[in-house]
Amino acid sequence: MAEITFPIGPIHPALKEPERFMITVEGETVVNADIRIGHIHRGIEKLVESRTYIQNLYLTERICGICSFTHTTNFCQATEDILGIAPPPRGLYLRTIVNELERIHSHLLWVGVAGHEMGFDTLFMYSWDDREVVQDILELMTGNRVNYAYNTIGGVRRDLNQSVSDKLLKGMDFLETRMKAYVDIGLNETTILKRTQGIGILKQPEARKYSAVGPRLRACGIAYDVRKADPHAAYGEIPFDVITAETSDVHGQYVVRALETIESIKMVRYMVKNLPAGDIRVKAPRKVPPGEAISRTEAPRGEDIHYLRSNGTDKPDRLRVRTPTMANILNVAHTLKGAQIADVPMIVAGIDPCMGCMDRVLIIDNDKETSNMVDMEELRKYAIEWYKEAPNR
Amino acid sequence: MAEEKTIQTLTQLFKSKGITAEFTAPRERRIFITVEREQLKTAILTVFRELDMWHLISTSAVDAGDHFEALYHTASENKTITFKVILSKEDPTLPTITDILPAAVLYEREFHDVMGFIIEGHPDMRPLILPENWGDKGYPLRKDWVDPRKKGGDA
Amino acid sequence: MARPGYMIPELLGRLGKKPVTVLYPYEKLPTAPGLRGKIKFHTDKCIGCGMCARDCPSGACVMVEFKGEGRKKSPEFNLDRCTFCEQCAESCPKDAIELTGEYELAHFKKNELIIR
Repeated sequence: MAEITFPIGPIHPALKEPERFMITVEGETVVNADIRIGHIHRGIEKLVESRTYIQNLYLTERICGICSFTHTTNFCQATEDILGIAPPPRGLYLRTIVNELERIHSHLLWVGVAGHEMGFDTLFMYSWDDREVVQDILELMTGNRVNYAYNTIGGVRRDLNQSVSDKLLKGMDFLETRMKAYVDIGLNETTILKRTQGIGILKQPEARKYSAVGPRLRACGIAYDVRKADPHAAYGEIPFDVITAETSDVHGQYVVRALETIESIKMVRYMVKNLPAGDIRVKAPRKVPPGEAISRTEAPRGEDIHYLRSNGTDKPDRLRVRTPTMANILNVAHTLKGAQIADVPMIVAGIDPCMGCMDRVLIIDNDKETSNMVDMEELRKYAIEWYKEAPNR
Repeated sequence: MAEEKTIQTLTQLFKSKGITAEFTAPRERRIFITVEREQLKTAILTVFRELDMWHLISTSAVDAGDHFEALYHTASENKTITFKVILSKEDPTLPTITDILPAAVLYEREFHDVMGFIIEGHPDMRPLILPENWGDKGYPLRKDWVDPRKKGGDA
Repeated sequence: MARPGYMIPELLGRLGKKPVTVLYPYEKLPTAPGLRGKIKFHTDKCIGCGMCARDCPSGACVMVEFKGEGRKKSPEFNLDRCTFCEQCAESCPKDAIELTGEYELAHFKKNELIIR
């Protein structure tokens, strides 16, 4: 049978790394997948060099639209590291609370996106409805729903008062019951099981070989979490478990994400109840002495790293950002090999990239030398139909 | 401090293998190892075997004014170990490490894109971030790079 | 255990509820008290130091010549460029800048989005 190559991507409005997968198929089976990223490279690493540290705070926030807080945390931590200042305990706790709230909202978003990709739009609607609760809490705490502008060098910018923390705890109670329902649904619902089990399998040796990160890695049974390995902010003081799954497939990632959200809810509750008193920030100088620092955080999608080099002025010399998706693309290209076309959206969605990158699919027929455009919506519908024909595939 | 102990072990190990290296530990859980370009691969392999590591977390290319620096950030269970290679501006060549760490394949392509490092032995040196028609418009993260649009060309 | 129709009790539980969405602009969802919205500038408190313009990450706040008395320069806020990060209010030594909760900023004329 003739091989057909078609690219997925590259339009990708939200992430730093837009992905284009050149996928070669033979019949229904993917035989090769190649990556081409950088379609909307925004040059943030260059732009950082011409802006002050305070301005860069809001620039790094816009690296990612969903895990915006983890990038500012990283940037602040790296700067604080070079400056040699430590935020007060209350500031660190508040920073960790927002980090975990962000994980809750991002994982709920993923549950919805995964539901949408598998043609289970009810799950998508319900999980996004529940996500509103955590978004409202974030708005109440930080003043915005997406780009919180909550972090600053030396601490956080707003304190948590009693009425907000009451609402926060109430919201957490509600979300915990909802998340338990999603775990239950994920383990029992036929649609989810059929579309995720045994798909996108990444074995442990490959996961190590391609340096996978985040839920993708933990779904392979490797208990590696930056929150434990390199405890930043207040993570060293908070009890929590690293969730792993043994199945190594997309279903394993569903389970890891859902259980991780429950773990995050427990962490938020613990932190709010044990919030230290005192200041929330220390004053940081504008000029940063020469030095270098690496900051690592566990973003919802995996490990996020900033490398910062300063040169004694109020502008950084170099900031290197490695976002989690960059680390996970390689293993996606690997797991796509041998998969069915209909499973491609599910596997790519599995690592939780931004779905915008999958908006456009170009199918090139090698035999006829023609190409026609298919958008992701059609591929999704095709996948749903494909499974409808024979549900036991 | 646990880092000093690791540094001691590694120094002895490096000495026995004939690797010259400089160690610094600016804070807890961070170790910087400056190695020669020719000994980079042996150094990485030695450290990875000694500390049972597998995770390459990132790489960074830095233009430090009079020289370039290539940094390989790796992580063990509780440490972040960075290998630093100092390159001259005239000869920014690096050996590929994709044969020992396949995860470096994208990072090394990025090295070439943004800073113009020449990676010897890399299996696939297509541009990663920059467009295919970038041509000779330079390497954007070098300090002496000027936006082609400012010079009247198109971007 | 795969069980078809596992979501049905969940679906039935939602049947009696009213829609989550509201009929904007006739109905409006309440906003959080600390929401960062339209900038309010207290021109009488300003001393024209320019700290807001210096820290503005998006170039929304620029210093322009001040026609009135008391100072030479005064900030001008271009809300079409503003990211509502509140950094100007934080940098201001005299608390002359305040962010209100007003979020409906669609206008027909660009001039209406410039606050002096």
